[in-house]
Amino acid sequence: MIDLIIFKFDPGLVVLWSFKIIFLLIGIVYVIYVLLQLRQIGIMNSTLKTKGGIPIAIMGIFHILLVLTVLFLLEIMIMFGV
Amino acid sequence: MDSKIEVKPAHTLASISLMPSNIKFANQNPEEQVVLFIRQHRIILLGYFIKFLFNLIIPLVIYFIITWLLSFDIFKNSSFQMTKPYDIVLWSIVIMWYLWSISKFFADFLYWFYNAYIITSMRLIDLDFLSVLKHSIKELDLRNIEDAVDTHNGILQTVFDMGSVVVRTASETTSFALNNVPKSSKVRDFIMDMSIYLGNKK
Repeated sequence: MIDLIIFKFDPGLVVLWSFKIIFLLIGIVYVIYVLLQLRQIGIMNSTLKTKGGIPIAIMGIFHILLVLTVLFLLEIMIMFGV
Repeated sequence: MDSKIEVKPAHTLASISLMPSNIKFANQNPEEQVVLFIRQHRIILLGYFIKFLFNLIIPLVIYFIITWLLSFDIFKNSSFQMTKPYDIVLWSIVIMWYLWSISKFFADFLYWFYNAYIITSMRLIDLDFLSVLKHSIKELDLRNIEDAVDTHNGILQTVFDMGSVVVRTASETTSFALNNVPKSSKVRDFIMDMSIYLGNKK
């Protein structure tokens, strides 16, 4: 008897890859959000010229570095580690 | 002018500052001087910080509740187990939660820091940082102010002497709201005195 089944449907694999893709999309949206936040800080700093603008811009850069690092490590862990 | 507002140096995180020398803004006229710089009361910032601390302990509370529930006998013999894929999904959700909490607190801080009201020797300027995609800058000639109302509403505003000052002009559509400003009665009085003073000078 010839076995015609060449592709075996695995629901667990579908759920896992759905999670990976959703997580990747969330990561991309989050990075765009943080970049826009940094841009907005720049606009507000040029509008309101206080001496507190520079520390906040530095905090903004640290924030995006934190987000990028954590998301990058998470994406690697989820895409290749699971 | 008989208004007396407590003079404070323009600290980076000042919520009210009279005649600050280190605060300027875009499109400031050469002869224009910043007379009063106002942000929301600092207690608002403390509220954001408490919310941030609350967000930090939520995953721990959920973890302890789940651990406590799983210690019951009915769960011990069930087929439910934390296998490796679920473990990674759970950890990634927890890490994302903490990342979001930090971002939320930072965004709240930006909202507080950049929502400022500037009273100059000519006009009243309202800077609004509404979100990462929305900001607005409104200004009003002090000579056009018709009346100003300050309102204290709720326990926090009464205890910490902060309130909302609504400034109206002759135009029915133009009104400025200075929300949660410290010493709102003095700010209202100061605005009206400035308006009368500049109106008389005209």
